[in-house]
Amino acid sequence: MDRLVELALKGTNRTDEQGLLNEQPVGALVTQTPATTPAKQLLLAAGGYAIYRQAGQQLPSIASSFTTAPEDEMPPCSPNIARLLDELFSGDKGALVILALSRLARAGQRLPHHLLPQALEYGTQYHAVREGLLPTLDQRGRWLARMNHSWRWIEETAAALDTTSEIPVNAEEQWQAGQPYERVYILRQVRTADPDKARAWVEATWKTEKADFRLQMLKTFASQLSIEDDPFLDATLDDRSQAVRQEAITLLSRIPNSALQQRMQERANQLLHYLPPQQTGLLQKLARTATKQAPIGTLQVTLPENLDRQWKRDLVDSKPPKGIGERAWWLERTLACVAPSHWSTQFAATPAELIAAASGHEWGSTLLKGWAQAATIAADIQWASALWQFWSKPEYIKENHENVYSSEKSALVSLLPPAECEAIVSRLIGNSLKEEYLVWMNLIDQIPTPWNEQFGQQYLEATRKRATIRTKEYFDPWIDTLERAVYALPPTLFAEARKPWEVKNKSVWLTNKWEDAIKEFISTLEKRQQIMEEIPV
Amino acid sequence: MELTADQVMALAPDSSSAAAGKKLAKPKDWQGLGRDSAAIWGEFQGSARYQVRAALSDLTVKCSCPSRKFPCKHGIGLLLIAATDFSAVPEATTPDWVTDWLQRREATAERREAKAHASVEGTAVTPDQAKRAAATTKRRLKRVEVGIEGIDLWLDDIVRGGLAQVSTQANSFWENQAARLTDAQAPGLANRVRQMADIPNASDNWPEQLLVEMGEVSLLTHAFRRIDELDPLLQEDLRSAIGWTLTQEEVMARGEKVRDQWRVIGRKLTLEDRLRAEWTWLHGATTGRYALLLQFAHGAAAFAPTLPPGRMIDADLVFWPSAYPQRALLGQQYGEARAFPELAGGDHSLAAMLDRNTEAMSRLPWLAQIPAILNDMSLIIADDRSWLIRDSTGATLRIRNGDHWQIMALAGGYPGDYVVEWDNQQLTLVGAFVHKKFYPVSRSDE
Repeated sequence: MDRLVELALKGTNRTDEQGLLNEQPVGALVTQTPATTPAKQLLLAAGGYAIYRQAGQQLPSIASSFTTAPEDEMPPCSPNIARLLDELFSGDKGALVILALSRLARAGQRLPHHLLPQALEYGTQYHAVREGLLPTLDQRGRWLARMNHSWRWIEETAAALDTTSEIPVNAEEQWQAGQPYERVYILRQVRTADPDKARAWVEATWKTEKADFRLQMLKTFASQLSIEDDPFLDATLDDRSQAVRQEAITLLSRIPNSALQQRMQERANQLLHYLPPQQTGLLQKLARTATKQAPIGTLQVTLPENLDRQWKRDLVDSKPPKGIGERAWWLERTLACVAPSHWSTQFAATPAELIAAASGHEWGSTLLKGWAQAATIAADIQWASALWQFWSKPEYIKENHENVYSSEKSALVSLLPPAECEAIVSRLIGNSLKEEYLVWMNLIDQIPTPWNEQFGQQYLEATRKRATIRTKEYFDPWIDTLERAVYALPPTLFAEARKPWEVKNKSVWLTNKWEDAIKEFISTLEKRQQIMEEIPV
Repeated sequence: MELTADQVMALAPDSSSAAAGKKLAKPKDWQGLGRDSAAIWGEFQGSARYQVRAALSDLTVKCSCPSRKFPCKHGIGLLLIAATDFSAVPEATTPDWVTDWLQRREATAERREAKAHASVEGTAVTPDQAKRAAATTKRRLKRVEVGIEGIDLWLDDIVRGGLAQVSTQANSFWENQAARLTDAQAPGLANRVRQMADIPNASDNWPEQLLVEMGEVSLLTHAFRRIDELDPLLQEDLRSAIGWTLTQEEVMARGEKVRDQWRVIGRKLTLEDRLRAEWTWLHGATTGRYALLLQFAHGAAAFAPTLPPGRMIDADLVFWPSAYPQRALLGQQYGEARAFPELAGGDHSLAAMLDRNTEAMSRLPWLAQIPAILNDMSLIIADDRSWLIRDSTGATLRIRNGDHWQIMALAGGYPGDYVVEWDNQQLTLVGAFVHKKFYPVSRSDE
């Protein structure tokens, strides 16, 4: 055929290879055909040969190392749940998917085979469902995923979940020669099992790595962090990359008695002094009894005058953001690096007493910011709790309208004991016709689910009331809490939540927003109810 | 009712209708869902209130919405509800708007049948009519001969000058020749010339593809000059390849009628030059014969309803006269369509399928594709991530790319029954029969 094509490309005018046709499988037939031109003969030979080739096609041999799927270990879920999942996999309600999958796993049921490709595609798109998906795939799903590159994450997820997974024998080799993500993965594993070895690896290669990889390596130090890491981390404060230095500061602040903390403590001790409340005066005693207030001590604050080179280095970034004075910023950053428990010990005062003393102070907000950051870094529950008690006081709320959401507040929320969160929200939610009280919205995600019935009831009542407020606003942050409530309300309140809702707003736009959100809330709640009722665990 | 969601999804004209239909398949969003022995119905509140009804015999849908898709998303939604939970569509008194439609359908069917009947019975042709017909045929033959003369010279020219020089030709080069063939009443050849226009430079081996295509056209014209020497049935094939179409009445009158339990084993949509075609492959459970129902529609026009894949109907098929009859018309139907319980009677090895192809091509050399049921074979993936079918002897053939993950998940690599189309190069997967259920591969080349 190749020679026929060659001939046809050149054109029969330019070549004279008539003998060629006779060599072809059907050429002889063609040359016997009378009254044809060479061109026609070529065409007939090509057409005839093509048909000859098609009709006599042989089976090719294709090698493949293919194995059939192993037997599944669990029974499939019910057809009803399969239908619901089919619908969920084509939507974006990841939380419902996670709920259904976790109940399936607990009930010892798997996804039916026909849903597997959809489920795997969903997991490819939404990382959050991967862990929950894994057990419900069973053998068939794992087998299927191995055949598609884009479903490789299944094996990675499985390996990451497998806490008994041992460090591979060739770990060091992988660390030396692997892809960046493989190197980080192996480093994290070694860090957990043998932090000294992991640190030695990092130290050996530190200077030759790029800044973003240095940062990734540094992040692995978060696990098994100890005073052993202090010298190395302290040295990285001289790193060229600011992101690396920032990460080092965070890690060092978390190591009790790190050199950085000691340096910062020494500096901070010069800036902060505390005078306990006077116990003696009769007048003060009378005043306290009248106002029922605990005695308040006095804080004396000295702003740093000048930073020496070392102090500058320890602060990473000595330039303040807009609106904050340079010296106040230095104070805040310095305090952030000192574990707050230090002050309780140093001044022999409770966190609440110190916060109370700071609250009336000229530099009070700077002190509170610094302490809040320090409490976050040190994961100090006592301080977190004291700070939140203070922030949720009506007197504070009234005076701090603009400060409903702040990074300091939200960062501390995860340290609060759940019961305390619930108590605060419960105390504030009824007042919530005033915007400044919405500070509880920082906390609601922290209340464990399912909510208890009493709190759920309280939330529903407050929300129904809120939906009928006549306001001219275009946006109501409260609406967003429905997304949390729909997964948190206890089953005993489902019927209550599904009762008709009244929405009444001056703004048409906001009315629509509320109505859409409630429609979505009810439809999601119905699906959640179906999942809870039809996958018994 | 043995209707499955996959069968319904296979009816969807495209993936967006399928997805939209899925969304609508919630009984609580519907009013007045009901059924009787012949139909299901319900009303859906969309931008207006739509009346949706479907006949149970062939799943034809009629909806009052303005969509030009067929079936529309409301129809798919209604059928899906019935497929997933038949009790959601309770028995009820048939509303007038359903009865009316059923009656109209019946009347149309009767008319169509009467017409077919009339032509089969052959209402006596008067000598005058016969004479006129003969004169028409003769006139057409003359024009086709002129057209064939023209294309032969044209091809001769190209090959004498060399294929290399056509690679730079404008589309009009091909289009003019195609138009001449259309004028000469040889639309079949005209189409092949139009398709040639896309070949140059489209792939590495385009010269070979073009030469083969031109060679096959030459074989057709060569054969046509000596058509009288051919077997009478092959003459029919040749005429149809040139572009002589038979009317349905002619097929009914002259074609072979075969009654069987016909299983609907696949369906695809293709688009060529704004002409859309719907292909439905059938297989006779008793005769073992394959058949193709082919219908065309222009632009956005809807196809007449056809049976959904996965179902089987006792019916007459009337085959186009051919040396290797495949294309057929659906004639009289006896009873209701139902899901087929098994898919036996196919090829048990890939070699057997290729042998069957060889045999078919020896009868009709320009046969473009054959369907095949493959029993006891596995769908697998090769190391280079391409899809394969493997038979029990270990022989494999490649499957054209597509999304076959669901069938893979269902079959687990174990042997099962598959439906494919073999086009002399690759297999195209048309459907799979797994765990006693038929899963059509929805395909649309549109």
